[in-house]
Amino acid sequence: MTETVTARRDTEVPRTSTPTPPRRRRRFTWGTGGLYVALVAIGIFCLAPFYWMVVSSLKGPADIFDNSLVPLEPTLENYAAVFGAQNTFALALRNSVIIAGSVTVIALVFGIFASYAIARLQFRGKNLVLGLFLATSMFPGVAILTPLFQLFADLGWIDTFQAMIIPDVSFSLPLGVWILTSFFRAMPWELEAAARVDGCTRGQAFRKIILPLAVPGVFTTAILVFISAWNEFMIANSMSLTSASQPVTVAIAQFSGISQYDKPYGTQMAAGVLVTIPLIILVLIFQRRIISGLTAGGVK
Amino acid sequence: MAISLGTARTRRRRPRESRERDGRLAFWLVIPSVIVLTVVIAFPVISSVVRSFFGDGIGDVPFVGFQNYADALWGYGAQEFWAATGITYLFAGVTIVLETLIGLGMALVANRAFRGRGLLRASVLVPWAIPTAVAAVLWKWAFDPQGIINAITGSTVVWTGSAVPSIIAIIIADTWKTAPFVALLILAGLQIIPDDVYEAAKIDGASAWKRFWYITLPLVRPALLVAVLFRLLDALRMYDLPEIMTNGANGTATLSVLVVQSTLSQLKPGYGGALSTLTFALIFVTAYLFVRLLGVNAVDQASSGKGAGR
Amino acid sequence: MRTKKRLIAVVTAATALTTAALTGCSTGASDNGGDGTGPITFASGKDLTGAMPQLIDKWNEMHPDQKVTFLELSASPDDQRTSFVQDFQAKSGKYDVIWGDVVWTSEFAAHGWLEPLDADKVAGDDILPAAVESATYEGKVWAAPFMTNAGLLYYRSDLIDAPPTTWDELEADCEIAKQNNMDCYAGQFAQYEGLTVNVAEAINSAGGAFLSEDGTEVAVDSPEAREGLQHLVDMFANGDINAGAITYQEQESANAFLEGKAMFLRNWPYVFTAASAPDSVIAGKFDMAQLPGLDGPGVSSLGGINLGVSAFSKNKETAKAWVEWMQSEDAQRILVSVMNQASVRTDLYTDPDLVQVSPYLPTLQKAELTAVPRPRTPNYNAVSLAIQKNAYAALQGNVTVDEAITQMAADLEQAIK
Repeated sequence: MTETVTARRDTEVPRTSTPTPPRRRRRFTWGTGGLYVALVAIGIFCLAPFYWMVVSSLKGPADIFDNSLVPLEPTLENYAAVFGAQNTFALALRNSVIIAGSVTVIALVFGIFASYAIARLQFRGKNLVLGLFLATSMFPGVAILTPLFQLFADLGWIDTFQAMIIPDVSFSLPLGVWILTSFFRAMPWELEAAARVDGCTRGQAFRKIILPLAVPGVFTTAILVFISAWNEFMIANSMSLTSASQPVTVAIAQFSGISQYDKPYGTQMAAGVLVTIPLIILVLIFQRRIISGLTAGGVK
Repeated sequence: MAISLGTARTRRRRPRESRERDGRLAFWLVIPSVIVLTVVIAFPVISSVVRSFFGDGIGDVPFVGFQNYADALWGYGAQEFWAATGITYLFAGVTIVLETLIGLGMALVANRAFRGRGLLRASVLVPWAIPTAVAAVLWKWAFDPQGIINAITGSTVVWTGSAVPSIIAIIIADTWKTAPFVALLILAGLQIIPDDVYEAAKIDGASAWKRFWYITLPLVRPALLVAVLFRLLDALRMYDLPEIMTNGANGTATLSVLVVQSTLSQLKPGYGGALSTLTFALIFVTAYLFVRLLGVNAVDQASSGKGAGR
Repeated sequence: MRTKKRLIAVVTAATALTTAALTGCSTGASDNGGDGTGPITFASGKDLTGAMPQLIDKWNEMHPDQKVTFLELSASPDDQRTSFVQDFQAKSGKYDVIWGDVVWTSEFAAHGWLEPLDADKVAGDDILPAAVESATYEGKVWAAPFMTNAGLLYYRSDLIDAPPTTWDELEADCEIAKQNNMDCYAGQFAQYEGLTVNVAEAINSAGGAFLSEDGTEVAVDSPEAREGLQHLVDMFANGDINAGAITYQEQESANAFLEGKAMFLRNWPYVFTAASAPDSVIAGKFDMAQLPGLDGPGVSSLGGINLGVSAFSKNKETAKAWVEWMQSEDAQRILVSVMNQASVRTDLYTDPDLVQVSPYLPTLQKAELTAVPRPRTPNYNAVSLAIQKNAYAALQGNVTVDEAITQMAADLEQAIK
């Protein structure tokens, strides 16, 4: 199979020498009908449970369990309860933004550095590094919880942002490095080499030529890291004590109903909706970047 | 997978000093990540492993060597441990297959050009974006005997109250939640495939299926394998869904549920550490076999940095 | 070559440094002289009544230099416990007083995390004996009982005149439930702590026990225990308990009763508020009684909260004084009338003003006087899990009661080792 592909690629015009016309997407080959069926199926698969979540969030306590597909008496009281006195949700949202944002930036920077080194540079210990990245993803999270709590408690870092940011970065790095490495490997490095021959430093060549082409990989990693840091619970639950540092996942877990035994299902669903919407908006804004391909126009 | 060079450039042997400069630069580039990982993960893990060689109890605990491991593997904890291993691998196997198929389908569709594809991409991510705890509570109530699933399908199965239905419920919830993750990674991989390849194939008269099988799949394979590999690691550590939906009852207690039970709930860090190390060992072996058998292109031995023509 | 060596060197150094940092500076609770008075932090579960600050403000006004800071944790007992355990294990002393569920006292005491208290001051004759028992471990009192709880039987007073006092009577009343197309009995049967509570009530009501008094021997392998568990299993088998109830926790079971789908409900007193709310379907149609037992009134499991003083607290004297005050009549009155919880003071159950607000108080008191705490042992969670798993299997019909009890005994042996 590989041979077939390679053979074909030898016959094609090298990308670098011809400016290709604006990308034409592949035409519908399954027939438009097939595509729309697939679209509907995907839509239902992904959104039906979310729809149920939204519907549940709009139902008051009386009819929350009545299984009606449309709320009989829609009410916003769950949303009010989310922001109510007992639940400091707005603060939690702020904390989540700070934590997830920092984690994304740091993990991207570290990850890009490391992936560049692995993909591009020659050094002994590559296997060791990649193996280390992979192995750290093999431990059940709880295994590191208590010693880490102890360490941070000694440092006086409980109830601070860094106590959550640093572990989250380490959870995201392995996947990020692997994704970015496989992207960087697929880059046309001859461009970089050519740029350096022309006098650019490594850094400039990287920034100006390689990085723009790696945008899909970088943004995919960014979105995955952001979402995973946004939704992280176990570490945040242990490391944050007060609403000053608690992110939304912990805040939601602390929602309470009227009694200790009442699970505030409606409020939790409302909070879930509130917490998911920003992520969806983020994805909508950046989804172009995820899919912008290797347009040959990026070549000098 | 052979590295074939798109152009006829020969590999130059780099001068030694350039290699050393490379080495030094690589060191500084890699070291921040390595430090973070060492402090946050390696250190606690090592301390947990060391602790697993001691007994549990209050006050001074004796050194017991491998006793905790023996207990888990063939001692009094064996039945629980092996049952958990079985269910963990069952969950992992089924969910990975389902998520890969569904994820691949979603990625292929999302890759196409049509109006509103931005919205499609955003909707594909919705399940992944919902916090796991909220999603777990949502599915738990959906599978309640009086919940929406029974209401819609008309069945009276007590989903979270018996063995096979709870397993099915958890698999459904996990697949729904995580297929987008796989889809997103595959989608990113699909982006690298240039159109020209497909054009050439179409000119040569290849059918849609042939194009998919002989072009798409091989070229998306690296991204696909990375996605599946990391899904594998996550799936074998599944915790939230069984814990929230069934509390680990009905035989759905995965390895991570056992580890949390021992470490946090029963305050037995020795036994819990042993379970956690055994879990790591199982995952390590599984991942190793996966990488070996499927040839995930982890580190290119012959890498000279030219990856354009795979 | 160099790079690999360097990498290994850095990894080793980082690990060594972190280990040193951790083992080197373990901050114990340094005795900082002083008389042990000063501001303290009260780590509490989520205050669902909204009235705890009121209580705390009262103390703070009286003792401005020994202010209590109210720190609210999760509403989930498991999360609370994890938080406390982590704080204790780190010996940080950040929490001076903790909101201790009654089943945690023995565990925390055995680990040396609690400060022993003066029995005369917090466990006197004016406090319910069962509550005192729950705060006692190995002869000493380790926490101050603050709030208490016992399971009660809710029943539809519009369908039957008098509540059943024995299991036979209960099963006879199930006929009426069937005629009205209702489930007979609802309780908490999912595999979680609530199941331990329900099973404990069944087994204790039949005269059985899980462990010996001192918690060192397993006592569940007995005909009484089997009879108790058999009662629950039978009710599942003949449909008196809905098959779906195997997933019930407190809320689901309360819903079944509140929606008029079940005739009897075993639950904590809190359901009273929702059941007598103006928009409740069953308002005015229900009443509460003691749980039925094998030959007479049954035995409730004791719930509640004991306030524990951390052994690592820097202001122990204030902490002790404060928990004593929380037991005083002033504080307990607010607890009952404003926060609508059950007091630990025996005399507050018959006070006419309080009974007017919560008419079930006399019944509750009777239940609490005969209530039995769940097994008091340092390994409570392991014990509870052993009980849950085996009882759950029996209720599902996967094993016989005999097998379940035998296995439970074996698991309990392992758990208390």
